[in-house]
Amino acid sequence: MDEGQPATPVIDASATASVGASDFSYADAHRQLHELQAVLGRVIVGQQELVTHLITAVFAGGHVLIEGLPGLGKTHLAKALAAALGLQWARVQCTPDLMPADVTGAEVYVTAAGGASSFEFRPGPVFAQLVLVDEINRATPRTQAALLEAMQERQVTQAGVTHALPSPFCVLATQNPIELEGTYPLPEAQLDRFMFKLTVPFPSRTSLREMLDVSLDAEPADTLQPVASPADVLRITALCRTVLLGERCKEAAVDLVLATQPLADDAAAAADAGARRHIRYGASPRALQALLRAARVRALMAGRAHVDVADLAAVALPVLRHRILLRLESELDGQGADATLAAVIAAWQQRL
Amino acid sequence: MTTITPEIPHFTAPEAGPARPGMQTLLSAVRGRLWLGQFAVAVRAAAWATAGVMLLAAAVHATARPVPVGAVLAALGLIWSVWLARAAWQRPADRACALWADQHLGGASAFSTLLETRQGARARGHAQAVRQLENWVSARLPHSLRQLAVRRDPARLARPMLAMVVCGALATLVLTLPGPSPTPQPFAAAPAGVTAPDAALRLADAPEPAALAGEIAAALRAAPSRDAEAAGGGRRSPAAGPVRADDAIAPVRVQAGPAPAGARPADKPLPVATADAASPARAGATPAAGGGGGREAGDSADARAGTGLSRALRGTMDAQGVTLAATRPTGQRRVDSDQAASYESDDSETGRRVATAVLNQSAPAAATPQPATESTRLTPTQTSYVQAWMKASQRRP
Repeated sequence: MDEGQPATPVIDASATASVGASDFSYADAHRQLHELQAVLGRVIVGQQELVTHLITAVFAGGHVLIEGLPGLGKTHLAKALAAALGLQWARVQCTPDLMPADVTGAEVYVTAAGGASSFEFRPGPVFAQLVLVDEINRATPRTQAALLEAMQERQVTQAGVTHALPSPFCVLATQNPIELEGTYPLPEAQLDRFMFKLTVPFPSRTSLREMLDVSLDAEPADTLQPVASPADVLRITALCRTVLLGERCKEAAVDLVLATQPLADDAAAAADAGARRHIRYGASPRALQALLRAARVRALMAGRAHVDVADLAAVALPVLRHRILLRLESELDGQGADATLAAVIAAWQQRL
Repeated sequence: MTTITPEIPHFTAPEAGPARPGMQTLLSAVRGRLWLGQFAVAVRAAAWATAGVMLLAAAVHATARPVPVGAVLAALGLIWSVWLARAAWQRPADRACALWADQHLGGASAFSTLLETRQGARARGHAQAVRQLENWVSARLPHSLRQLAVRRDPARLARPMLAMVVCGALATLVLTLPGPSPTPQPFAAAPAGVTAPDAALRLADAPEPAALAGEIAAALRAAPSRDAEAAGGGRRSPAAGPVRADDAIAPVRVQAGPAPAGARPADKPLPVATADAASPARAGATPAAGGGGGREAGDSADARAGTGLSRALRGTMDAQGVTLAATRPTGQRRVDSDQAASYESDDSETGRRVATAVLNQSAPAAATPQPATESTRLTPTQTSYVQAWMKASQRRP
C-alpha cells in the first residue's frame, strides 16, 4: 500500500519557518531551478512543459493533480522529482477499501520492554515530504477527505493530538481519465485544494525513440543525484514570496479570475459572450492566490524578481483547468474545459 | 505579449561602464510619444468634426438660409482649439508611461513595478528584489529606448483629413453660391390673353410639378362641370359626352364596371348581342358578364342578378338574358334583379317584354373617348399650364 523511503530527515516546520530568503540569492535560486529542469528533462523525456509545471507547483507550495493514461510515467516523474530534490517520498495506491488511518496513520497499542504499555502514534504515508497518491479517485470519499484535509492544514489530528506534517510537503495525486467504473470523482471543493491539474500528453515519436535510450534497461530515477536539498526547496519557496508583484499583474490576475465567472443568463444570450457562456461555475479566490504564487515561481525561473503578465498566462491553464465547471449543454456539445479556458485566456490577453 | 530579449542578464549586477540611461529618460521619451499620440487623436477628431460642420453649413446654406462664412470659420476655430487644448492639457502621467513601456517596449511589467516600489513603501521588506528589479530595468532600458526610436505608430490621419478636404471644398462651393430664394408663392393663373411666347417666358418661374399637376387637374375638372351646366342638367352623367354615330352599333363587349361612360341615344333600342356575346358557351366567361375568370366567370353580381337561373342551366340559357346582364349599367341591373325576381314566376314572354322596356330607357352606353368639342377644349391659360407642366416633366430625370 505504501512505501516510505526516508531519503532525508524530516525537517521540522517550526525550524524551517526561520529560513529566510536573505541568505539565498535570486541568482542561486534561478540556477537551481534551471538545473532541476534540466535533470528532470533528461529523465522524463519529451515532457518539458509537464516538468516545468511540476517544479513550479512544488516551489509555490502547492499540490498537483496529474491526469493521464496508464504508462505515461506519472509514478516515474514523482520518483525522479523526489530524488532530484532529495525529498522523502511515499506512495499510496488508492483502492475502495483504503481507510483514512491507512493514509494518516493510527495509534497502536505498544508494550515496552519493561512491561509498560501505551498507545503510540504510527504515522502514515502522508508524513512524507513528497506523497504520491496513485489513482486518488479510487479511494472512498472518506479517505479522500482525510487526505485532502491533511493537504490543506498540513497537519493530522489523531486522538486529540495534532501532528504537523513535514515541510516541504507536496502531494502528487494521479487519476486515470478512463475506467471510471467504481471510482469516486473528487468533489469540486477538494479539487480546489490542488494548485495545479496537469495532463500528461502522449509523447511524440522523437520522445518515444529517445525514451528507449534512457529507460529501457535501467530506471533513471533510481540513479538520479539530488541537485537540491529540502532546505533549498524551502529557501527558494521563501524567496519566491519576495518576488515583486506590481499593480498591473494584480489587476490582470483579478481580471483573469473574473473572466472565468459565468455570465448572467441575459448576458449569456448575447452574441459577444464568448467562451464564458459555457461556464457554469468559475474559479475561486483560492485560484487567484494560486495563480499569483505560481506566477512568482515562473518569474524566478525566467530570471526576474518581478512578475509579468506573461507569467500569469503561463500558469493560468493548469491553475484554472480544474476549477471551472462547464454547463451541461456545453459538455454535451463536446466543449472541454481546456478549450473554454484557452479562449478565455486569449481574450484576457487581448485586453491587457 | 512581450518577450524577454536574451541580452538581459538574469540576476546580475549592472555592468560597469558608460552611464546607462535612467528610468526618467525612458519615461520622458514615452511621454513625448504618448503626447504626440494624443495630439493625433485630437487632430483626427477635429478633422472629422470639421468635415461635419462644413457639411452642415453647406446643407443649411443650400436649403434654409445663407450661412455667413465667418460663422463657419469661427465654429471651426473653436472646435480645433478645444481639441488641441484638451490634448495639450492631458499630460501623460508617469504610471501611464511606465505601463505603456511595459506593454509595448518589452518591459515585462518591470517599469511600472519599479515605479510603484519607488513611489510607495510597499516593497520595503523586499530590498533584494527591488535591487534585482533595478538591475533588470537598467539592463532593459537601452533596448527599450531603441525600440521606442524605431517604433512607428500609425497616426491614421489620412481618412479624416481627406474627409475634411472634400467637405471643405464642397462647403466652399456651396457657400459661394447665392442663398436660397424665398419660398415661391402659389402659382397665379395667367391672364386670359396670354400668348405662347408669354407662356414660354413664364416657364422659368413655373411652380413645382406637383402643384402644377394639381392646378391642371382642377382646371380639367372645371371644364366638364361647365359643360354639364350648359347642357341643362339632364339624366346623363356629367362626364358623358355627345353621342357618336358608331357608339350605338358597336358590339357590347366591355364595361362591366359601374361607371357609365359615353352615351347611347335614348330612342335607339339596345342592339341584340353580337355573335360573341350571344354564344351560350362564351357568355358566362366573357369579362363583360363576370368579374372573375375560370370557375368564377359568370359568378358576378351582374350575372346572378340578370338571370336568376341556376348555374347548371347557365350554359343553355337564353342568350338574351346574358346580353341584358352584360350591357346594362350596374345600378340599373340591380333594379332589374328585383324585377326579375318578380318576373320569375311570370310567363317568359312577359318578362322579356318588361326587360326590353326597361332597357329602352335612356341608359349610358359603353365608354368611348370623349370627342373633342369646342366646349372641352382648354383655355389658353390651361394650355399654358399644360405646356409648362410637360416641359417641366421632360426636364426631370
